[in-house]
Amino acid sequence: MNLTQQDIDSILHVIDDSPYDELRLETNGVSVYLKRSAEGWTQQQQTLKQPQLLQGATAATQTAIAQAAPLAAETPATEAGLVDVRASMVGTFYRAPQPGAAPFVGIGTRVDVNSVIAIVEVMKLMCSIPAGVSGEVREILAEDAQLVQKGQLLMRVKPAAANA
Amino acid sequence: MIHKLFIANRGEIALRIIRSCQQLGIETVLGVSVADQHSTPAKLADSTVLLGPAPAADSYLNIDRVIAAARQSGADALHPGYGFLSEKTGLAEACAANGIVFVGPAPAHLLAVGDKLRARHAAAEAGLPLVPGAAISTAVDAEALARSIGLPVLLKAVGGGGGRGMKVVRKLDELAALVTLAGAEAKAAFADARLYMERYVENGRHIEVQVLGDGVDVIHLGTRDCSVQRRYQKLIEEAPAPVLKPELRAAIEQAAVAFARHLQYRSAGTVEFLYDCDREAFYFLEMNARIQVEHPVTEMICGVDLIAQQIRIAEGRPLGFRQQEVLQRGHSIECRLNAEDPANDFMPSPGVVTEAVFPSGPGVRVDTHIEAGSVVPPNYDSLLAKLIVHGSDRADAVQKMQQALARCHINGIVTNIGLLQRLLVEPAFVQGGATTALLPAMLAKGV
Repeated sequence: MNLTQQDIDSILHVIDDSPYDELRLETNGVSVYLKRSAEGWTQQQQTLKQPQLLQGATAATQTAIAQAAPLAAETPATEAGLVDVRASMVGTFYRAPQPGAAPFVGIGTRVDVNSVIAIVEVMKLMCSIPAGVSGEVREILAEDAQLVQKGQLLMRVKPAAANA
Repeated sequence: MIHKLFIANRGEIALRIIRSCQQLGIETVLGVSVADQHSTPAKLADSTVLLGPAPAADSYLNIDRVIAAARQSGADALHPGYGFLSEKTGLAEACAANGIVFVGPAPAHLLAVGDKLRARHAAAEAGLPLVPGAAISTAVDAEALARSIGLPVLLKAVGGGGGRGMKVVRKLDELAALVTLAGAEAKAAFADARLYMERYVENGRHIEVQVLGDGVDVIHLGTRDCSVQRRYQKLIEEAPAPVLKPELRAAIEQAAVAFARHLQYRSAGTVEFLYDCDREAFYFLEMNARIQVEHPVTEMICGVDLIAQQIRIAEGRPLGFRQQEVLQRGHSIECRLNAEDPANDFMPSPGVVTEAVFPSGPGVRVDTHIEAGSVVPPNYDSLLAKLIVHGSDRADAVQKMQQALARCHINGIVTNIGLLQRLLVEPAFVQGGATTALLPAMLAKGV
């Protein structure tokens, strides 16, 4: 909630005729302090962070709120001619089919166009990510079990043709 | 008496529980993940407690964190909603150990119905009809059983739900491979590879009965039909189940009551049945020992607040009305509005909702946590809203739903409203009594 200057003016209008010289108002997310002096009213206003939110007993690590965030700058490729494999949707990136299982691919794994290189879980749906290119995995840039954005760079593959 | 209720859930059901508590004068505390801190339910709860990061495993599915948050908030009771931890015996037990009233059935009930084999056993004891079938352990077992039941057969995960791990076997030579696959899927999804096999009903309807028990008495609030499904996910539900002979309806309702009575069930629950249209027979499927997504259609025809009833029973009070006082009036239909794209293989569509216009008017109810500006996180399920209508009869309800869907406008994310609109004019649906094959057939035709 935000108070506009117009809201404050309306409040002042109401309390102007009152016998009070100070008003402290805290509402859902906003705190306003008004004081009457010789020159008239002065005001202080601040937006409160996370109204009503108690910190959980367990220390919760703050993770990126899951919404359209700009893509982070990408690390430059370590060698020329690599093909990017990108996330086709926003979701949680997993390198293995289930916890504790071997990853789909590692550095040096040979893949073809349809090889599954990872899964992205979005809204309880597991989506396989195909390599989309035939060759060898050279770089893995997304972290396991982390949120990835649509279009985010996941891996880089050295195409088979370029290997020859 | 419950004074302060902790809600261990999110989305529309969190808001639904808040609404009932407001009417009952119960203070609400909502446990939220980081992704839901600014959600509509978080704004409307009396207070919120942070459970943990966005992934459900670190927040809504973490019993320790949920219990710690509930204790910290000073709540005297906890409502688990549906999904997440709602049917976990561990949560109900942890509540009891911490002096928190669990708004749901006793741990023993959750245990009795949480495992399909155990539930089947209890249903047999209660005299309910079961789909012919049994547990299988080896491929050899499976083949002998498949021969005795007759093909096609269905393979299911003993510890599962939601359709995962289920396979239809139509030929004996496919059986061994499908048993291996279903076992692997079941193990991956539920950490339990056990399977069971049963007769596959080709023309089936999903019919369920809402029950309320106080540990002594059990009553039912009639049938619901949830046959419009895709991959075992319900899309449209209605109450009462249409096109059913009165004696069959009564038998199904009585079977549900007999089952809940056998368990000495205490809370709201749903007994699910498979209705075989060709044989005009019904079989016990499972019991859901929690509030269900589709509970509003029953509320609409019975005029009962099921969340309030759950709370009343959790307070240790007896049922507030008797079976003969339950009157069903008219017909109700619910559509689930999901953030998914039917044109792109139902790909989920998380994001920011830029416009959310919902219908209103006589006989129209919308249960939703979505408004313009809401964030639909990628971490949870895709349910955005439940659109519910009540009509004087089924034809009236169908017409109201057609109009209500046309007045829904959700933008910023992709929704399934178009598909729901096509379903609502599909002759087989309009006529009533469609089978679970309706939606898959429509999708296969590209309707």
